[in-house]
Formats: sequence, structure tokens, C-alpha cells
Amino acid sequence: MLRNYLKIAVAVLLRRKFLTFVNLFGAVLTLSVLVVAFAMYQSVVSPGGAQHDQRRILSIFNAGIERAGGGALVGGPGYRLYEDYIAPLETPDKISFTLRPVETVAYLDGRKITSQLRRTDAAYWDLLDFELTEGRWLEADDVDQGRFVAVINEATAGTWFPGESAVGQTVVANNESYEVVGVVGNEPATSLLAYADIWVPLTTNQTYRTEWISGSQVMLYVEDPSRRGAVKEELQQALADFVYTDDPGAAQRAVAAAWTPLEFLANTALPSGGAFGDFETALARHVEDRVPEFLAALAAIGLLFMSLPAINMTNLNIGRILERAPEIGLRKSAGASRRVLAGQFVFENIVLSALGGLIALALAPLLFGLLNDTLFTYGRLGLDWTVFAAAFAFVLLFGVLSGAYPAWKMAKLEPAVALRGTQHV
Amino acid sequence: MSDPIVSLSNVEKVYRTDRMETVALHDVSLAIEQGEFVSIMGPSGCGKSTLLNVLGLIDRPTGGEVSFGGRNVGEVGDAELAPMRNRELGFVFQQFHLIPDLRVIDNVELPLLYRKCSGAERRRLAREALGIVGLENRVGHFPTELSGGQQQRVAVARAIVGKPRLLLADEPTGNLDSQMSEEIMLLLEQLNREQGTTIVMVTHDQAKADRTQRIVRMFDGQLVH
Repeated sequence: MLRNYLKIAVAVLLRRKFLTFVNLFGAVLTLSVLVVAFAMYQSVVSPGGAQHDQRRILSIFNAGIERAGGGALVGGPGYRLYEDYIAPLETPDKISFTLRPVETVAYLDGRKITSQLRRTDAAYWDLLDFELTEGRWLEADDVDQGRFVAVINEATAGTWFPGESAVGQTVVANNESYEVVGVVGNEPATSLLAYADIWVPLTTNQTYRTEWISGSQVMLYVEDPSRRGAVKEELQQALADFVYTDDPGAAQRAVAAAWTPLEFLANTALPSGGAFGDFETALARHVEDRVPEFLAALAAIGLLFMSLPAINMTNLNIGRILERAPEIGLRKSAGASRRVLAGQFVFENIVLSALGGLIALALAPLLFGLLNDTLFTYGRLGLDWTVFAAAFAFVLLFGVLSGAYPAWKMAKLEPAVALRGTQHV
Repeated sequence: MSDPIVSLSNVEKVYRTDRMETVALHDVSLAIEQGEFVSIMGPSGCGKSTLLNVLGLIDRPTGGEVSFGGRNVGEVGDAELAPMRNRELGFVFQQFHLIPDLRVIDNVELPLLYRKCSGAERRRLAREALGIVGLENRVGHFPTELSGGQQQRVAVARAIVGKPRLLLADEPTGNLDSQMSEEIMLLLEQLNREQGTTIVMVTHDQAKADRTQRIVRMFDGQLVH
């Protein structure tokens, strides 16, 4: 039966080529955007590479301290907060404190070179799975001694030392020289924990030690992913006892949350109804799980985005139904039930949608290439099984969305009326 | 005499629009017996095709009762009507209604798609039906590659492929020249005589009606006795 449906589907597409082109154009455009959007989402939520083990790492990106006179200090969890309230946590198996990448400048043969430099502790290299292509990681001794050594990525190695080994050579960032001890693979900017061009020991700059809130981030590692809840809970308990020891009267409460990348995306992307200045809102943002809400919002946006071309396609399909009324009458008189007929026409629509999906998937590498070279530094957008699976789901959804209503309208036609040909459905 | 295949009792069919009502059938009572070859005659617009559609369960009357195989089908829903049409009924239309994008064999197979039947069995039955109508050499052709008479023979093959008890033909020779219409007429007679297929045929042609066993005459939506 499917073979017969497929023959008819192809024949119908070939009958009115311009109409098919218009339908297909809408489907390709819609599905291409959705495929790219999904790949972008995946690159943040599940970036792979050094961050491939997402289930065992929780990150603290944001923290806040409420001022006594109102308002709040907001940013990353500073070293003071880390040292007093996060480092002592017992539920994580490993903890790492790093500063976020900062842009640095250097001049090489008269050329200005900007690099993202990240200061890390030694645990950082234990928690993330960087691909070491040359030399070694930063080690505990490097951090303890405050050595001016660096791990650089392949792109930086290629810029500074083209065609030669980088290990043992010197890179410069903001007038400070570092001896290169290792080279790792490039990590994309969407890898919130791993991204940088140059990694140096945390202790090469001591200013971070006095800050409660700063441009920093913390990773909490649990061997058993099911214990992530316990880690979050212990963090909240620790912060409940917060005392601003510098000036106990000046600030009373601190807030921070340990998130997976998806939770980070969900909690930061959704509108909060108030900035960190509203401390209660900030607190709610940090302790509530907004992932379901976020995914529902994404689904709603996706559906809304699909609905416009789907409505257009529905309209065109109704036109096609009018042309095919005698065939519908014939099929009904031959014993096709409404359900079977509706199924056939939805199937035909899914064939068109699948064709659009295939073209979108064929175009995707071009779009990914464009984005990887421009919007996303070291971007790793690409086709993998999750993108294929998502494309398949989009195709099905789009096909059903745009085909169900006309199919049902058509299947409801009385056979005798349909056989005469009808002007409206 | 056995129970009729289909019987109508005081059937009414009224088409209603916002502005007017058109009575297509009024107080029609008719029984079609097993093995009969019946023709329906009457002037254009008298309700012949509507009557045929009601007999074939593809149009619902607005009043009266339709019994098929002894069962009142007035309250039967689409899910039950569809298999009844599939198993018991075959249709031949004046305009052939072949699907132009499908080859002859695929057109003939169509009713078999809606019942449990393997692909190989469908092919076998379709070839058999095409053999009966003398078109076994045209299986791979598209309808547009055939003459009008051949297209109607394909339509007959499609109507009989599921071995229905009742074949309904709505002016099956109306679009054909005399030679081709004679071919179709001979085919219908052969089906009735050799296969025992019950046939109800709408026609304007008195000579063809005279070749059937019974003529039902209509005028203004009513049977004329």
C-alpha cells in the first residue's frame, strides 16, 4: 500500500511543479532554520570535545550577594565565596575554580593578535577531557608555584609557531610571557567551560583572591550523576550560613546555583521578571528548575515558527484537494475509510516534507560551515545522529502539521459529492 | 427467490442549499435481486445517478430505508460502510475515473489496497481481472495511452477485481463510440452470465436497456410503473 501511496505522492508533486516548488521552498527554509537552531542548541547543551562528560559536572556561573542597603553584587562566584562556602562542600568528588576567559592582546611581527586567556587551577585539567596534541597539561606544581607557563590551543600554536613545535617556546599575552608546555585541540566558544586560546595557572595573577564576586566559574564533579541533586542541596545549605566577613553589616545573603549547561541556558535565557537587583527574584532564579519551562518555550517558538509555512502549505493543499476530489470519491467508493484516506494524504504530505528535510540536510553542512567560520569561534556545528533525529522529528511534525487538516477535510467528503468534483471543502 | 442484495424502501433524497430544495428521489422503493441485470432509464436530471449512488452506498438518503444484504445501513458509520463497499460493491463510471498517474495494473489493484491482501496476491488478482476484460497485455500502460473503450474496460476490471456481488455502472457507454460501447456491453453481459455478477446500469440507450433483464424507469425522482 505504501508503494502505491508513494507513487501517487510523487506523481502529485510532479503534476503542478510550480506549486510543488513553492511548497518545497517553504519546507526547506523552515527545516533548514530548525536544523541549524537545533545544532546550535546542541552545541551549548552538549558541546562534546573536552566537555563531552556533561552528566557529571555542575557549574556555577553566576552568583550574587545582597547589599544591606538594597541592590546586589552580581557576577561569577568569587574566590572568597569559593574558598569559604564552595570548596568545603563534601558531596562533590572534585572541585575546580577558574577565571573566565578574558581577551588579551599581543603583537607578533607587527600584527595584533587577540587571544582569549583563561586562568585555571590544576583540577580543571582533571575534570575536562582536552585532547592533548603536544606536551602536557598544567599541573598542581605550576599552580602552586605561580609559574608563567601556558597550554595553548592548536589555532594559537599555528599563529605563533607555524610549522614548528610550540612546546618550549614563548607566547605573550598582555605583555606577560608564558612558556608553552602543552598544546590542545580547539574548543568552541559555545563550550562555556572549556573555551579559550591560552590557559595559564590561576596564580599568575593574585587579584582574584580578594573578590567575593568576580569573572570566575566553578566546576563541581560527581562520579555518580544521580548525586547532582545532593550537591545542589548542599550548596544551598552552605550559602544559607553566609556571612560577609569583610563587613558583616554590609551584606546579608548570598546566592549561587550549580547547573548543567542546559540548566544554565534555561535559567539565563528565560526572562526573570527582575534583575539581580531584586534579590528574591535572583534567589528564585537560582534555585528553581526552569528547564521544563525553557523546553516548553523552545517547543512553542519552534511550533510558531513552523506554523506560518505550515498554514501556507495547508492552504495550497486544500487547493490540491479540490483538484483531486474525483480520486477521493473513487477511493471511497472502492472501500477506503476516512481514517485510511486521511492517513494517505498525511503520508503524501510527509513525503513532500521529507524531501524538504533531505534538501535541508544537504544544505546544512554549508550553513554550518558558514556559522563555524563566522559566528562561532572554533565552531563545531555539524551533522550527527542527534541532528538527523531532530530533522526527522521536524519533518514528521511539519508534515503532520501542514497535512492533517486538509487530509481530514478531504476524507470527510461524501463519495458521491467528491466524484462529481467539488468547488469547496 | 432469495433475499434481495439491496433494497430501498420509501427512499427520499433532497439536496438543500440556502436558497432552495431539490428533490432528487421521492418515495422510491426498489429491490435488486441476486444475479439480476437491471437498467435504470429516464430523462436527464430525473435522479438516475442519485438512485445508483444510494444503491451503491456512496450517497445517503435523507429519508426512507436502505437495506444491503438484509441489513439496514441507515445508521451504519463510515468505518463499517467502507469495508462493505470494498467487499460487496464495484463501480463503473461514465468518466472512467482512472488515476492518470498510475499504470493500468495499479489502477485495477486499487480496491484491493483497502483489504488484507499481499502485494503478490493483488498483482495476481489484477492480472486475472484484466484477463477477463481482454487487457492482459496493457498492464504497464498508463490510462492516457489507451483508447476510451480500453480505459472503460480497465475501469470494469477495477470494479470486478474484488469479486463484488453488485456492480453499479453509471452510463458506462456514455462516453464511447458505438463499437466501443458494444464491447463494454458485451463485457457486462458476459460478467452477468458467466460470473453471476448482479449489475445495475444507468443508461439513456433504449437498445442497451432492452438487453437487460429488467428496466426501471424514472421521472422527476420517482419510479414510473
